[in-house]
Amino acid sequence: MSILKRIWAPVLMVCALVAALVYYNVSVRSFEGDLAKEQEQMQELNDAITALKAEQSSARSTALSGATNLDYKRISRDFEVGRDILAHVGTWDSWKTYDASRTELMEKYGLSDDDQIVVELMPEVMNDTRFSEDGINTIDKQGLNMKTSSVEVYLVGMDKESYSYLAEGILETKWDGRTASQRAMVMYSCDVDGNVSNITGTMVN
Amino acid sequence: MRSRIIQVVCIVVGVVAVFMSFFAVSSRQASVSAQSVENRREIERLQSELEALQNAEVDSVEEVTQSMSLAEDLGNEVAEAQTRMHNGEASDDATSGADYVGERLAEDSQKYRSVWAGGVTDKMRWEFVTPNNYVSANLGAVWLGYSEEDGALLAYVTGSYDEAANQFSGLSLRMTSAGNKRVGVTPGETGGA
Repeated sequence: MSILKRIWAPVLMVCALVAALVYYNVSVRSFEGDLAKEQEQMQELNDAITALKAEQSSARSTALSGATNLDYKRISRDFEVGRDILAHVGTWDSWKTYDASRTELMEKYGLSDDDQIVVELMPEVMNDTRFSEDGINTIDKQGLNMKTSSVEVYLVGMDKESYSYLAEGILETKWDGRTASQRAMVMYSCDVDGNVSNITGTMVN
Repeated sequence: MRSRIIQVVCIVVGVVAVFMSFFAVSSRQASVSAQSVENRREIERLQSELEALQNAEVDSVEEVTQSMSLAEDLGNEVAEAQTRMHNGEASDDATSGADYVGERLAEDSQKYRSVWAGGVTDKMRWEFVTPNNYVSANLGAVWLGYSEEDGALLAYVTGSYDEAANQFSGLSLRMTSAGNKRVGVTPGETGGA
């Protein structure tokens, strides 16, 4: 009896702690279960929307193809060129990645330093390596970066040799906790074999 | 005395644990409720988007051909009117002017009823590009604005053609850097830019 008198309070405390933990866990699991169900429902709806959009887009392309006699497989392939060029222009976060993206863009599309699109959208940024191995340059010094989003491509011309396209996208830069954006546009032509020519580009507003 | 202190401490700890658990659960519940409200709102939005997509009809080849033809006629009318308006060419058959263009534009694009890229000092030629793409469920529309002096692309306008209303909507005007360099004295009526 004297033992019971001594331990009833610690036992009660342990019981209270266990009950509190169980209550917390059961409640939180129940809330999270409800949230998970909602997330699942949103995912299902998003999947259904994506599938339906793809289906309708394909049906529209087929109808357009029938109406215009254009090869929409070719056009879809060519659309990727515009997205790719703008992705090169706007996917970097340091001088190293800028220079790599610039070099790759120029090699891939046979561009030179003097080409209008290079001068205007991806000019050479000097990196002074006299004082450090990594070099000193404006991009790293100012923490510049760029990300491309929301690219739209339009077929704007057709002749026997090639189709020409206009692609525009948003270039977004984050700086000092703030985000600034501007649009860029590129125009280019693609022949039936997918060879790209006449690439020009500019910032637009 | 010592055992009394232990008893009091244990009781206090037990009571505090129970209160803390209630407090933690209710604060978690509040944050979950807020998230849940957001989720339900998003679910409703997705459901109505899905419903709209399910009800959307995909045009047949004939219907697309007809839509394209209507869009092309209307787009060319707008392009010609914009060219005349920009270059200050008087029109004797009332096929230019803000009202004429405005009739061909949806409510959301009425700010584009007046001269596009009006500040550009070059004489311009606007061309409508035959719609060959879809922007969502509508045919896409593009007008390219070239300099009459050297053929440089100075501006362009994108949007989409709504066949039901026989109007263009969602217009956006973009000025290229070449266009921006040629902005000077505004020739008369301006707007859109």
